[in-house]
Amino acid sequence: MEVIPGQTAVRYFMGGWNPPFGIEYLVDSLNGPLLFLIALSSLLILTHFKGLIRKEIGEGKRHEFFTLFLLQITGLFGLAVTGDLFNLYVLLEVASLSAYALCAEGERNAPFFAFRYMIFGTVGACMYLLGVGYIYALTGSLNMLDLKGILPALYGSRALFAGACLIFSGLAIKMALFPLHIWLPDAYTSAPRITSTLLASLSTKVYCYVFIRISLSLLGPPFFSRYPSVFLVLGYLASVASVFSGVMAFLQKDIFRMSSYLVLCEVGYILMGISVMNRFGLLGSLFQLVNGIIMMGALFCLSSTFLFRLQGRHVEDLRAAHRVLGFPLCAFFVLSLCIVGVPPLPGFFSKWFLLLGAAQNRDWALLFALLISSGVNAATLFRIVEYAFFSEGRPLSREGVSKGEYVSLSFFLLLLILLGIGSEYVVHKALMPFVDRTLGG
Amino acid sequence: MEILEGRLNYLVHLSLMMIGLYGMLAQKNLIKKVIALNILQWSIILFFVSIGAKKGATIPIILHEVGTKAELYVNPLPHVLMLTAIVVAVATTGVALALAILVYRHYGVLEEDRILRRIGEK
Repeated sequence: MEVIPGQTAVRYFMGGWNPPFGIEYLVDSLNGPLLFLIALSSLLILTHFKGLIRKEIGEGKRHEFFTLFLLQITGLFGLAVTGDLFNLYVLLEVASLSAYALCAEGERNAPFFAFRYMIFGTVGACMYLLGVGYIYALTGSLNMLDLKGILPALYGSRALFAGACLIFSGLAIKMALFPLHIWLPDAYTSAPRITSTLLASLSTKVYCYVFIRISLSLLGPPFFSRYPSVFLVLGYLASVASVFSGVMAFLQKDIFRMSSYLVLCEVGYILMGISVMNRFGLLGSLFQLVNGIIMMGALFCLSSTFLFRLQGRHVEDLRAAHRVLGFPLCAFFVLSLCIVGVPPLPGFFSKWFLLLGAAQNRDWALLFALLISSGVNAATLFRIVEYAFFSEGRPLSREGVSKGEYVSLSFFLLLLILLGIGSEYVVHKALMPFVDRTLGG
Repeated sequence: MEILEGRLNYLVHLSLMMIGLYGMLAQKNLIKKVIALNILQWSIILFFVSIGAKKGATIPIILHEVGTKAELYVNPLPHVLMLTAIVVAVATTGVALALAILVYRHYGVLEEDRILRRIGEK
């Protein structure tokens, strides 16, 4: 274990073997908040579904299900903390395989969509592995920090460019960037509710984090100024992703399908910030990553509450639901304000940073895509709020909300409000050191 | 022909990878997709192992007759990495087949277009 003074990073060498020979685990100001959020988020999700799991997973299967659940969380922790490229592949597969198995235990069409998810996901992982193979063949090293020193000398090499593009394509499949997102809505809608909550809030975001880690810490900004076409493609794909997903979310009648498309929107925002590669863009991207975990966790938890307490998953089933589910619906209102981006909630600050970053780069397409997408999200979410609070009729059922759900929803809300009010603190302490070190050094 | 000299391993790896990708995307039978998945993963394993090969080198176990010079032994690191990748490929195949069994129990067919038609009808 080694704490490097003046660098605020904790490095752990597996088995005592020093890099570049050994595998290293690295925690710096980008990782730390993410690790904390993974732990907190999975705890809140488990609290929320404590009673609800009974309705979805049969009695005999529950211990196996939770084993897979823990495996998935282990994979996500590993992805967030590793500093070695091949170790990342192994943990990526651990997380992915558990995700495929977790998705398959759902309702009617889950096995087929889990199979489709598996096909897509394995192609992505294989592309990633091939990219790592190219980089290894060029340099002989697999350690991220080590490669950061070796690679600048190789920037003219076509093999390096090909390897980097392969890694990006592989990760794009895993984090569901348009047009490789096709597996996500089906898989997340038919999976058991607890699985789609975990995957939507954590899995997609952790793969975004891996993308950020590789593009910033491994191939830094110099790589992207050498190959600007990568950013162009990324920026346009991200803009199209956010607008397309926003519109698709608006068109859905099923709350969970709508929420899956909102997850795709978030991925678009995060990648928009990376593609501008300036201070505001990166800060917006990282803050959106942090927010997105909590927002999507809360969104899926709330949708599950609506599903299980009202026995309905369509927007129309929420009519007059405020008589039965007052607190969850208020939480949904606050959450929709956050997703759309209303101050003082944190969604506003991340989108504001992204807008500033896009404007600084004169990237008007990105700017308008962000604004249009937020507008469409507003229409989608406020429509639900209006239906739930202001429509006539009787609610579908009178079942109340359990204690576990109250606790987790309150925690999610509290976290959102704290993140919003303390956003300056979070950004300055946690995110800005990393961004400044990446862009300045 | 000069392009092929010394680059045969890349050609083989590429062909296998493309066969695997084609199978996964274009074949309708789920078991054929699983086989193609396997072919894709094995092609990448082949790539890694082949980049460790050296001219006139022997297997990476130290022998008295050969000595201790590193150039005389094949690079063992890709072999070791690919042992892990083989385990991952086996696990993936296991999960894939388990999912295929679930699909078969549920729908009674293993053809993707018929399954999609059934999903659409429900």
